[in-house]
Amino acid sequence: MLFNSFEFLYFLPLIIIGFYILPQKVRWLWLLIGSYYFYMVYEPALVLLLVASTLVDYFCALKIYSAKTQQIKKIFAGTSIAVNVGILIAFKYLFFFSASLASILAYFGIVIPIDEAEQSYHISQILLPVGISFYTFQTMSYTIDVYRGRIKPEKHLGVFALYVAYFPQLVAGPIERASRLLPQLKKKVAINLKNIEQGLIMMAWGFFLKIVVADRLGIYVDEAFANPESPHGFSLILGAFLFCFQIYYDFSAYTTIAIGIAKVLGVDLIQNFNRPIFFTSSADFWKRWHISLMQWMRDYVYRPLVVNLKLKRVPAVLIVFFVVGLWHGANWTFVVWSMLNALLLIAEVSTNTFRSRLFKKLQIPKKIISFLGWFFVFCYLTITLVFFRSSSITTALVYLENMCNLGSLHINILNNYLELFLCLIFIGIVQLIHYYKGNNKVYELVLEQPKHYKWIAYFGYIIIIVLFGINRQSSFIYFQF
Amino acid sequence: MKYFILKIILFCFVLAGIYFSFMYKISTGYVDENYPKFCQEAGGLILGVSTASQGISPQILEDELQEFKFEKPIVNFAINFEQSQYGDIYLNSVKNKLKKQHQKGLFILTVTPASFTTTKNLDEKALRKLDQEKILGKISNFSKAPNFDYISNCYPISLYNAIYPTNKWDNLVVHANGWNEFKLKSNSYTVTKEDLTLWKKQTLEFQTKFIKTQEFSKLRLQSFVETINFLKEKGDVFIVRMPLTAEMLALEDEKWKNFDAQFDSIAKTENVPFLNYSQKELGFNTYDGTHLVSESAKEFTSLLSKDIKNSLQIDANKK
Repeated sequence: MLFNSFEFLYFLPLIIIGFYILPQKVRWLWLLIGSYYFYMVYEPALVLLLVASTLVDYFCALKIYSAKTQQIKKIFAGTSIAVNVGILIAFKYLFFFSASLASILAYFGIVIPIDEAEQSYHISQILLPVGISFYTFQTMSYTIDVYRGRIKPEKHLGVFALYVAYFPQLVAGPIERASRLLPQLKKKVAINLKNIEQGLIMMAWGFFLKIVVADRLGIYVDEAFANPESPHGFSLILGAFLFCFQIYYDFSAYTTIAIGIAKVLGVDLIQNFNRPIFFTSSADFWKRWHISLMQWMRDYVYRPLVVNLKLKRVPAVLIVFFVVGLWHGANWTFVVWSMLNALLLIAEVSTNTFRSRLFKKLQIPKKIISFLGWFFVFCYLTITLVFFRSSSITTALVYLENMCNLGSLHINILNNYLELFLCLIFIGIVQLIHYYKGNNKVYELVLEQPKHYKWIAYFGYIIIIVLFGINRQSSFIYFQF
Repeated sequence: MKYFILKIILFCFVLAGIYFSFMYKISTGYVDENYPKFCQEAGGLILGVSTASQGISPQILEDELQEFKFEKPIVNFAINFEQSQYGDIYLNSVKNKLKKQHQKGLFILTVTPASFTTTKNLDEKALRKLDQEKILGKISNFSKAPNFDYISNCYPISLYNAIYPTNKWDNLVVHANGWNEFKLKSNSYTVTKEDLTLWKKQTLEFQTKFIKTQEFSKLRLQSFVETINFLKEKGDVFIVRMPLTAEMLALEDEKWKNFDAQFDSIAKTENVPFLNYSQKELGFNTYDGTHLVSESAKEFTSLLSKDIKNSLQIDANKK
């Protein structure tokens, strides 16, 4: 079910009212039923995968905790990881891997025909379970944490199932750790009007980001990326620039709505964005962008590589970013996007001292250096995102090549300049608000005001949503992952 | 608590109130080029893709075929190849679009390869799901004015257009009977020779690329036959292949060599006439190689009316 669908308008109030009316003992059941229903709206059969992943991790964690030897612990941890990774491979990467292998073999003259049915499955993507990368990573972190002795396993199967399927963050994160989310799901929640009000304002802000800003940008981005061969370089540059903001607002809209819903239900979800546009370096950007995934990668991929396998930092970073790329989707475009960012990160860290000395020698003011650094990284991110958005590497390269055709100033992706003006105005407003209040404290902007200003804000919001909202009911970009 | 709930209820009411006011305001003016197709019950229908949407005027058909007393109004219910390819969803919308108390209608089913294709290797389930996500799958009301079902589900731009419309192009005149008439000259823009050359080139390039990603769908063909069978019970059915430029025809023929023969055979099996204008040098003008401009659309509809009249008279003589 999409947050921005009409069904959700009925679903959410029902869930919230039921949650507060029902006694504490059965609230988990209410939320679990709601979460499974929420997921089954996409494709009922795929809930079985969710259940399978839940059962495997529940039992494996219990066995790990009760195991007397390290070897048995390893067996059950391995089983859990193998099942989750297996689900991911089977449902997301099987065709991708076989097609890639076939291409490599074809290069050496060995031709393997790829099964047509498999191809059909890949193209339709009908069976691709929504949010599979999010919930498998979430459950894997639980088993690994139990294995590492950081948390005790959850004995209540229902509550654990709710941890895996908790609907606000089920399909596009943030990826929550059991140590944070499980205790919150079990604690007694009393009606707290302040929390509910904050949550509702966060949801409203998220809907604004999605319906008014991201979907508006999406119209032009779709048009630009549908015509990578366009001779109008400025159109393509504008398309890439707008995509930078579209993906940010689209993803952060989902997270903000998820955080808002959870807050109404008495749960604080992890912050997933921290003003990523205001980064000071590439390394800083990755600390601010998709925080829950990057922290997951740090704890469960990077550290084991560096600490346990004694790998040096550069290969460890390359491996982490390779996994990040693959996590995003079964397409080499994501890997290229991710690896290009890894290269920038490595180059940035390894030239840090040299650059500091050089700038000192040249006596360039710090503010200018900061701005130039920001501008360079922003342009680099924009260029790499062309790979992220394109359907293939070839298409991305064609797009980038045609971006350089700057002979004409004509922008052919816009049928009216009022809309471009609106896009830029909304980007400006959002950035200004994020600058002052951050991504997760937007509600303060309203709640800290006197009563009559609050009402002006509420009615202003209604007018903006109604007048400037785009009714595309488009799914969130990160749903595909 | 009571005050808080009242506040939320008031917020929701104001939101809904303003939203519906603007929806109503939109419905009283220009919505989009497809909206008028969904605002009336139909006595007769023109089905197909955008070539039919812009190429056949229901008014001319009604006027020139008056003697046959076909149920009115005839509605041009063709949208475009993305929205109205033959299939279960299109058939269902046709069933819902027709008048409940129906006498004898005229039904023109235009055919072009684009009406029957799908992305390669798409299975039936995926194809149905894709069709369900289109305009005809999203709405359930096809014949109400104002049609809030259409506006709330399919209006693709912001409602501020109710006050300051930005999506209207004067060269495309949208008629209440569903015909989208393309004029080369309007108050705001006159199409130039350069425009025409560019559009024709772009369309040909697009089609050349697009056609490679497509394959013929048995499911669509099956639904097309079902549509004929359903409509045969409601009146007279004609299968029509629209005129198009030599370049476009060559492109379609290259990909689907036996297209005409296949539809000739279907027409014979189903006992309905197949009027094929694609192979004839009729001298109609298009603005992009496939879509007829206003004058040509009118001429073509007159020609079509004459051929339909002849066909019906031959049938009547036989009886």
